[in-house]
Amino acid sequence: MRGAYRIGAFAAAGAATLLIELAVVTDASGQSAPTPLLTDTPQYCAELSDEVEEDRQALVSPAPAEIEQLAEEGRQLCALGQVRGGIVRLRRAIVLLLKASGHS
Amino acid sequence: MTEARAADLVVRSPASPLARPPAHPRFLRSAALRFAAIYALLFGLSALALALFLWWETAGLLDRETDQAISADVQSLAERWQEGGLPALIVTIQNRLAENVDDNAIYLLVDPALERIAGNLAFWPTSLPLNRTWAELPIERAGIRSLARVRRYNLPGGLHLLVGRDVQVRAELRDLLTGALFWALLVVLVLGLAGAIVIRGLFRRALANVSTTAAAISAGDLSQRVRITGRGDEFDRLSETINEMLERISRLMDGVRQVSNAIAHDLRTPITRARTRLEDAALHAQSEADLHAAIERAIADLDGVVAVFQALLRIAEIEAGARRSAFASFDAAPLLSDLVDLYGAVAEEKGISLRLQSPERLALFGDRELIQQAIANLLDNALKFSPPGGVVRLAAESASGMTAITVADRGPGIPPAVRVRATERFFRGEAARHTPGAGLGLALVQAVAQLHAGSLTLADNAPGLRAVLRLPGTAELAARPAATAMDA
Ligand SMILES: Nc1ncnc2c1ncn2[C@@H]1O[C@H](COP(=O)(O)OP(=O)(O)O)[C@@H](O)[C@H]1O
Ligand SMILES: [Mg+2]
Repeated sequence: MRGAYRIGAFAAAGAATLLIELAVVTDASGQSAPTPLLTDTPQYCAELSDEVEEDRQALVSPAPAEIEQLAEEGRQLCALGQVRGGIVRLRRAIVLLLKASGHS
Repeated sequence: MTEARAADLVVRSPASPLARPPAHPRFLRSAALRFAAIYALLFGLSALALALFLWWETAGLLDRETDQAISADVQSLAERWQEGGLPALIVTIQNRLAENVDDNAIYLLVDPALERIAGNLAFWPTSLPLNRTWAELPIERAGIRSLARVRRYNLPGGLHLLVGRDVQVRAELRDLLTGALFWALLVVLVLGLAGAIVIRGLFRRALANVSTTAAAISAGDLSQRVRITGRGDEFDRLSETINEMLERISRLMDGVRQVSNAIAHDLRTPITRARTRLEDAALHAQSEADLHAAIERAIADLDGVVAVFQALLRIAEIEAGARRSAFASFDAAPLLSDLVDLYGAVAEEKGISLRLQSPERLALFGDRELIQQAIANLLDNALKFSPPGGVVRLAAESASGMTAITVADRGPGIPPAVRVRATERFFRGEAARHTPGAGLGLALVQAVAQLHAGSLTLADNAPGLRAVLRLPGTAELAARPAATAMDA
């Protein structure tokens, strides 16, 4: 029986660990006022749009149509207020432009 | 176990309850519950281990990956700082944000006054403890609340760097998993309890059989036996063992009952006879001489009774095995010739020829006096039941450490049907009706044989009886545990 008691103690310890883990993980989010992120704003959208323009002009050859389209879509989404969607497209355009400039 | 001890057991057990085992919590005294509890515990433990493993492999893995990515990011930013100073660091942060297609990167670089220099966090989060490296941080993305995992890094010159990732999706997944695990634990709890109840039931059912039988027996119904299920499992084997034990106990009880009946029956006759004689003499004696004669005869009757008691006690003593400590090695050849000398006179009187056939030396290990008594009993029977002019043969031989002593006569013998009963106490055959004796002679021989781990065999001598007493010649053979009297 002694062994069973010891196993029981182990089990209790394990359960406690799991519960504490769950508790720590779940309560972390709701304690204070959230800090706003600056990269979800129309301003940042405009910033990225400018950067796309810069990078495109820096290219020797004309930018591929695919990149142009991405950038255009991004700008339109931003204008429509879909800021996060627009930003993602603009970022993708920047990455592709970087690649293109790296190759040429 | 001897009859005497079996009787002890039966008489004593209701009066003296068995000593209780050391105190356990009350519920642990039920083995069924204990097994059920152990089952539930093991079940819960395995489930818990499984849950922990799942957690570690899913949510835990995602967390670890995020932390690794953040750490690598911090590392490369710190290198940037070392190579190009503050301007390089600012440009790198901006580039990284511009190229962050996953839309989850979080950077913040502040000066010693915690004023923002670069990055996409609006300000240094007030809730962030300065002494902690890692933290979970609530953030706001275009008005929507989200959760970030961040790491703080102090740069030389009082600058602070915060690098992190938006882990909202991950947090949601984790919540989902937490909920699932919680419910799973509940299910496990229920299943564990149900399983425990089933186990307890199975256990109880397996034991119910035995315990109802035991209860019936302790209530006095000795004929009850444990039912065998026929599955041949451990419980069946236990039941068989218990049934064998009960069988043996009832045989021993029968023996005890039979012996006490026999004592009552056989002793009543001589005692009543003595009483009648004394009464008769008291009423009708004409002279003092008559009275004396009557008393004398009564004394002789009572002496017979005393002799029977002594024989019984002696057999009981032998069966108890107390005399085993007096065992020794000795040569039995002189013992046999002494016995032949002793009984030679009686044989001659009856016109019987008594013949001895023995080797020069006959090694025996045991109690000399008891062995002599046993052989004397066999010779006594042979002479008693032999017709005049008959032959009684006493022979001895040794083989592989055992010594066989044979007493053979050509009398009426014992019919095969009652031969097994001839060694019972007070057994007297038809042929013995008109001969003196109490029926204890062979019982004693049998007891002596048992005591020495030997045996007594009664066989047909066609005609007559051949009794073979096998005894050990060496100490090793005598040490073998003897089978009990009742089983023989
Ligand atoms: N040698 C024998 N020949 C025939 N019957 C025998 C012989 N020895 C024993 N018996 C039978 O076994 C019974 C039991 O013998 P025993 O125990 O010596 O008692 P007892 O000699 O007092 O009768 C005898 O009554 C007799 O019926
Ligand atoms: Mg006899």
